[in-house]
Amino acid sequence: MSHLLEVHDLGVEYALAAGKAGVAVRDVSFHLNAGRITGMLGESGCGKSSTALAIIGMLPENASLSGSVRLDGHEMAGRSEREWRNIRGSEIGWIPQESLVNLNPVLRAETQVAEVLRAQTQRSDCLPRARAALSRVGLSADAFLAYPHQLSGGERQRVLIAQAIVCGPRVILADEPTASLDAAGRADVLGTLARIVNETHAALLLISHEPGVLADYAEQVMVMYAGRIVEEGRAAEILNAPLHPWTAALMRCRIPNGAGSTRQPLPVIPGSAPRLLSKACGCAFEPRCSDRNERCGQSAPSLSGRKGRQVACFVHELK
Amino acid sequence: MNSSKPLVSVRALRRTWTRRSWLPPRTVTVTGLDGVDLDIAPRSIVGLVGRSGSGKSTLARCISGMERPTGGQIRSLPHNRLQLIPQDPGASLNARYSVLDTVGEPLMISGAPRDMRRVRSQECLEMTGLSDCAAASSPDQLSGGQRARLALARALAALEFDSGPGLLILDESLSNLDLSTQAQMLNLLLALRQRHDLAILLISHELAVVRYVSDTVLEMSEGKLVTLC
Repeated sequence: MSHLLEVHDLGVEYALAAGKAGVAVRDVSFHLNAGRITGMLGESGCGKSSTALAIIGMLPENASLSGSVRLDGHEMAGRSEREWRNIRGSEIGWIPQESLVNLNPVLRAETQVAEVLRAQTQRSDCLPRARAALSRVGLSADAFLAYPHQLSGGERQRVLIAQAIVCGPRVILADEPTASLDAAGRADVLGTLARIVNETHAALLLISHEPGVLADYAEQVMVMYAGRIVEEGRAAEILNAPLHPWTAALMRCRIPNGAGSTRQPLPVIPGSAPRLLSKACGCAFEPRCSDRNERCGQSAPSLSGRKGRQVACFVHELK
Repeated sequence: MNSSKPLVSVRALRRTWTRRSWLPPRTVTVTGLDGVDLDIAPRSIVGLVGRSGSGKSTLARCISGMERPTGGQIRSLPHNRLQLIPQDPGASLNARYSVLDTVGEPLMISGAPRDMRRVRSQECLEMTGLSDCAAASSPDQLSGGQRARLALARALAALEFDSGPGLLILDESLSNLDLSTQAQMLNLLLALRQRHDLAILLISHELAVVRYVSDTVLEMSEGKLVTLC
């Protein structure tokens, strides 16, 4: 069976000042299937957003891309801006994280969504279709005419979802869609996304730094660390029985639910994640890892394991 | 609750705004805070949760003197004993200031001499575990977690520990951090409280985080406070 979206050996490199280059993503391969939600978990700066931007062709000017991104067998990498204009929105939808930044403050909700359609549709069709998309994400008719500042965070996020789905894309990329929402708003937005995926049979890539967001909604999860996928598998397996030391350490940092005021210091991951790597020797997590051995500093482990449950760690290779 | 005299005491606090709409022509009153009573004892950690728009930030801004209440009384602290760390600390940092200057800014405003400023800034960077970032020329070069700690270091620089116990208000400052960074910040706050007799008002929409560290957890709902635990 061929997959709807196939990413193979994706690499993203940013040209920095003084002729230097920083690698944000390397050797990333995965696929998305229609009607499925795939989660991507990682710390800020680990390359999650760069991966998503590469898929939708929105990397900034100083970035260069290697590898391939295939949508239904068609190569996406290296397309011109003109070709991309027909792909974005109608083939691949994008849900950004900050609703206040990404909505135009002087346009009503329905106009914001209609604007997205203008590249594809006649002017007269835009508003009715925009309203249909807004009611599909669960907004009421009074909200159609509201300006962004009159809507709550959750409602604004739903306007962004309406923008992403209004042209009926087959792939939806959601980059931290619930980052600025409270618990009720989060459940609301994620529930809406899950329902949309169910109805439209689109493939959804759900990016988050919070395991809790992925636990309830994603089927498959891949874990990124320092630009690589370090672990992948079913969501329940990864979150309940993590293999990679970073995933395991992250799960220990979670505040136990229902814990009272114990005020015990919480476990933390020492150090901080490397930003834009320059060289590729050794496992990127090695300096922070409590399970490291002498092999870890010498070469980088690659993903291994059975199909559907893989981890990039020497410690687990030995077992 | 501590029996000693509270650091901050708020009685029957109200904050309303009037909005004029032209069609139909009328004046609408929007209520942010509706009769809030709150005492914060020295060295206590008070957690405040609630949905967005419930008035948490308005209360924080009223206590820190950034907003004038419409009614009620507030007995609060001067700025050398009370600091507010805003939501999205990264956005409150000046991209043109070096790390050392960022921390030194409140000291400069209070008129501290140059060499004392440098010593104190270094101290605050050390307290927040940022001493090796002091050389960084701009907050842009720091990670999200380091920026959060920098905002905390700047607030600590503004506090004068020898003029009496202080209060730190964190308005959703921990909300968008990675889990490990959030845990680091919570540990740091608990340690600072021990060492410098700080009280903390921790505002968050994540009940688990608040419950883990707080003595009292309050919930705000439509401008009113309810004690949760």
